[in-house]
Order: sequence, then structure tokens, then C-alpha cells
Amino acid sequence: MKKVLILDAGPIINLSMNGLLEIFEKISQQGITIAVTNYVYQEVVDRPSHIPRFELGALRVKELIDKGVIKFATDLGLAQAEIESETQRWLRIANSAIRADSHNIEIVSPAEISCIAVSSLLSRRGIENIIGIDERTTRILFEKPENLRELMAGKLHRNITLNIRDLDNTKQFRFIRSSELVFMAYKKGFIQIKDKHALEALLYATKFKGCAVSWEEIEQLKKL
Amino acid sequence: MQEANHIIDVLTKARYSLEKEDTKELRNLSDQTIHSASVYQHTDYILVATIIYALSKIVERKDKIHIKNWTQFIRDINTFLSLAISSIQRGKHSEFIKFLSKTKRCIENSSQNLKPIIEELLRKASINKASKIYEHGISLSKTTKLLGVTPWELSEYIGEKENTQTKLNKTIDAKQRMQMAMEFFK
Repeated sequence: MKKVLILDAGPIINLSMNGLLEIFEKISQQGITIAVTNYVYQEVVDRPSHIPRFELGALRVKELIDKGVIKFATDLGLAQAEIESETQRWLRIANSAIRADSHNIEIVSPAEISCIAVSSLLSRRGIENIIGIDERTTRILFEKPENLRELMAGKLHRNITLNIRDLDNTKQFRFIRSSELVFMAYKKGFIQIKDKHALEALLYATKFKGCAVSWEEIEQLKKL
Repeated sequence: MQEANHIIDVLTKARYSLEKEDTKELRNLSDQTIHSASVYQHTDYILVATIIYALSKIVERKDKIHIKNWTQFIRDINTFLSLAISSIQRGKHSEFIKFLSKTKRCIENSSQNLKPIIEELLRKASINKASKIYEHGISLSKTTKLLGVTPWELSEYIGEKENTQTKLNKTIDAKQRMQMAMEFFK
């Protein structure tokens, strides 16, 4: 196992809804391990399996897991107890990072933070990894927390304070979104559509299924 | 206490706006509750936001939904809202939740023939409120748990609605992130 792509629910849901799950098969064929945590599995398979509208999407994802294209983090030699303990540790740090009215705001859930936990554990073992996440809060918190403080102060019309004492060593985490996944897939020839507008169509599609990518960034990506 | 006063103010104005059938003001009042809902994440604030938003939609579609006895329906809703206000004024929190739940049930049972439409309207109200809480900086997964919706439906909704144009969302240059991705998948 050389490299691990750790997936939050966002990119799985995004590629499933856009009919692009084959990208994960291609990535896996390149020798890159793709992993999810139990928390993420609940969001992409367990819960939607009981909702008619999303049942097919959930079954498609389950199929990829059954085939071993997407593995559980515990299949990578990490113990569930270890993942849980690391998740809780990061959860405490993340959910005490933003304060308003002398009150810690719980900004993230165990699903997103379990990806951080797995990344942290793999890095300690010297295994190169990257996190695929579409939602913006976790990404901003770990990459530029002052932006999250400013964003929330503006939206909540409150004085927001930032406690980043325990977030000073977070540059180890690397994040990509569905937009980067489809861009990479296009450039590597994983996508069968040969039309000259295929790349922009792929990028737009990820945005319309919840990937936090701006129009400006899409324009930038189209030119690369 | 400040938050309780805010909820009392919102519910009092909601009663008035409901009588006046002012959908714009109802939506505005629902959004005002989102600030508290995002910070404190109390289910009651979230329920208030969802109920008021659903009421705005019911009033907006009054002619299509055809609730049999509209005047009685508004009277019932406003009675429950008054009782909820009175409970919170007396610091009776469990009573407050009880009357909020009764308000929601009153909406659900407003039309037996159109129950699926009303249920869908309430579901959409929850997704709309979830998207607002997400906009306020709470993560997607955390938001779905607060509102009881799935990441699948919220992702779809914010994809259509979310304004990601804010510069604060950008943490790393797009080119730099892409290079990082291409390097990883080399």
C-alpha cells in the first residue's frame, strides 16, 4: 500500500449522482488504495439504502465496496478503536476551535473528522495520503481557520473567536474535491467522453451536486 | 434569556405575519432563527425555523393546497404558537417543545387528502433550513444530523443554491490544489 485516498461522503455522493463512480475503479487500478470509515459508510450506504430516492445510488456504492474498489479504513491495518479514539481527539479540537457568546460551536461531525483521524494515523505510519472532501467547513478549518472565523462572524452577526492552539500542526492534511478528481480523471483519460466541452461539463456537474468550488475556480481549472 | 427573548419575538411576529398572510416576512423570520440554531444547535430553534418556513410555503400555495377550513387552520396554528410563547415566557421548556410539536402536527394534518404534499413541503422546509445552517459555517454532515436529512439531498440542494463565490471559501489557489492532486495520482 503506497498511497491512500481517504473519502468523505461528499465525493462518493457527487460521483454517484453524476454517474461517474467508474473513476474510483480507475484510481484503484492505478494501485492507489481508496478508503472510507464506518461513519462515512453510514452516510453513503446505510442511511440512503432506506430512502427510495437514493437507494440505487447507495447500492452502487455498496457494490464498489463489495468488489474491494473502496475499502474500509480497518482493512488498512488500522484498529477500529484506534480510529475512534483519534476521531474523538480531533473532534474535540475542531469543535472547540470556534466560539461565539462564550460558547463553543459544534461545527463538524464524526463522519468528516474520521477522515482526518485516518489521515493522521496513516501519516504517522509513513503512508502518503490525501482526503477527498466536498464540503467546505472541514477544509477551511484545517487549511485557513481565520477564513472560517470571518465567514461565520459575517453570517452570524456575532463576535467569533478562534482557538487554534491545537490546530497549528494541520498542514499535514491535504484536501481535494470532486472537481479535482474529475479533472485528474479527464487528464488521465479515464473519461470516455471526447467532446471538447467534456472537462467543463464535468466540473459544472460536480458543482451542481454540492462540491464547494466557485465559478472562478472552474474557469481557472478549464485553462490548465 | 437573550435567546429566549429572540424566539418570543420571532414567534409573536410569526403569528401576526400568518394572519396577514405575509410570506416574505415569515421567510425572513425563519432565517432570523437560523443564527441561534447554528450557534446553539438546540432542536427547538431548528423546529421553529422549519415550522415558520413551512407556514410561509403553505400560505404561498394556499390556492393550490386548498386547506378545507383555512380560517380555523390559522386559528389553531396561532393558538399553539401563543401557548408556545407563553411556555417559554414562564421558562417551561418541555411545554414549549410540546406546543411546537403540536404546531407541526397541526400542519401535517391540515389536509388528509394532501398529506403527501404537506409532508413533502415539510421535508423541503428541513432541507432549506439545513442549507442555511450550512451557509452559516456548520459542516454538511453535522447539519444533516441536526435537521434529520441525508447528505444526498442536502448536497443536491446546495449544489443548486449555494453561493460559493465568497472569497473566504478559497483557502488554496485552484492551480496549486490541482497540482497537488495530479502529483498524488501520478
